[in-house]
Amino acid sequence: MKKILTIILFSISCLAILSFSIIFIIYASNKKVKEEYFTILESKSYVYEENRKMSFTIYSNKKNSLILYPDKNIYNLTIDTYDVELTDVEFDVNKYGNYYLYHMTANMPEVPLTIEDSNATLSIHNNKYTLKLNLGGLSIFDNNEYELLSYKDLYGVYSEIDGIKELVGINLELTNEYSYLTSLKLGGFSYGTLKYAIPNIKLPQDIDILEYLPNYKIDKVEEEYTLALTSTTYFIPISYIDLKYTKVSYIILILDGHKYYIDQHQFSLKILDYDIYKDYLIKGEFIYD
Amino acid sequence: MKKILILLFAIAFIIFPLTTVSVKASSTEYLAYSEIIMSSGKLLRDFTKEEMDDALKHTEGNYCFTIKIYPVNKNVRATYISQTVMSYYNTSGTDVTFTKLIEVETNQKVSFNTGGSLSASASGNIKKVKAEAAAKGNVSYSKQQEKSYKEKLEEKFVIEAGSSIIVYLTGSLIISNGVASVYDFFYRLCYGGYEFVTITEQYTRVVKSTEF
Repeated sequence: MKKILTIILFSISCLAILSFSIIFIIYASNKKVKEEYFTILESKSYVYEENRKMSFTIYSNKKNSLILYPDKNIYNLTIDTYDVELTDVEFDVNKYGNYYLYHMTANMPEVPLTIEDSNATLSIHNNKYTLKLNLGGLSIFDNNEYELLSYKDLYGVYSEIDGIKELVGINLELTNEYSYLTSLKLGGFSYGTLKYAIPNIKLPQDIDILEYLPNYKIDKVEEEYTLALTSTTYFIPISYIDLKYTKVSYIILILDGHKYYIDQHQFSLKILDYDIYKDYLIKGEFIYD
Repeated sequence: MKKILILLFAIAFIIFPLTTVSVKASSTEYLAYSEIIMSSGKLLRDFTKEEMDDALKHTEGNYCFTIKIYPVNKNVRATYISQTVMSYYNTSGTDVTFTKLIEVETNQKVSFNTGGSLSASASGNIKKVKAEAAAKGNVSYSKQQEKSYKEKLEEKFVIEAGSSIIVYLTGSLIISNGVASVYDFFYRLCYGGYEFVTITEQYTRVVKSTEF
């Protein structure tokens, strides 16, 4: 009798534990995770040509989000007063620590003239919400009045500024000889500090800029300066009106009074670690109808 | 009877791991780079036999069910030049304007490589060595990406007659390597070198040349 009672009580306990576990698992899986989306403010400057693509990086805590479905969303890009719907949107999702990294690509919109905005936004509309994301600096360049410049070597030079590795200059070796460089602009948001350009040198890509230029200031944009060119190879320091991490950029130059450009170039491929760049992190804003 | 069972049990622990399916440590992209310059120390592939044997001596002994790690290089900074991403040779007699879609895989993963009999051992052993070596060498790989994405950008160049252009990646690495021995029941099951390589910076560079 005792044995039977023990078996019955044991069976009831097991059933109770099993039921509770099933209920808990169902509850946990149905519990809604609050969606969060972030962008890191970067600087991307593109040159418009037909069929070109542009890319955006979004961080999220959701692996499978509604915003990932182009047939359920409208993606609007706003650069200054220019507002355009993006087409041919695609996503690639990768796990990134505790978050997910959405790599979004879309067709580059045609622009009537060069547009740039240091606080461009991406708005994603669906039947549940509008998600507004700050992209940072975005520029689309109209190259109609510029000649493509030939060069022999081009790379970015980086230095740590306030704990962050920033693009502090470019090393450029031109193919042809010129007499004067009167302007150099890197994309929409940074300028060559021609007064401190160094001829005949190819610096390493990772340096301490203050070892070469003790007076260098990343946010001091110089006034106009004419650089008399004594060489085809120069290190040209860069300064910013609004400092953001430069990933893609074109370069515009005025050499001997003529306008030239270097096409959009992928300077850095680094996936920005949001722990290191947390001061640059901007949370996406939800707008509900 | 009890003694026979203990003996059989001990034999099983020795033989069984040797007959499990061996999993090679994944070959890693960095081994194909055209140049890696470390600020000090050497890559695993450059260790001489004497250097390897000297290091392995630190992991020898009478150990039971343990992993002995001896780090040789800890978080050493290095620079690298990758393989060529894109190249174009203008063999025509005129200058050309060349447009190319450049595809580059962004990469922030921590690569892990092993050598010696360690690399042919069971995947479980390799995982344990990885965890122990990371802890001893202060290597953080918890943020390892499972996949990196392809960044594509169309770029236009002027290429003079008789010139070539190449695009490649450069950047910075952090390298930690050493040796490890895996012990079973007072028996050294496998041993060899291990290596962690973390890409910390990744840039592109465009270079033109008149030499093919």
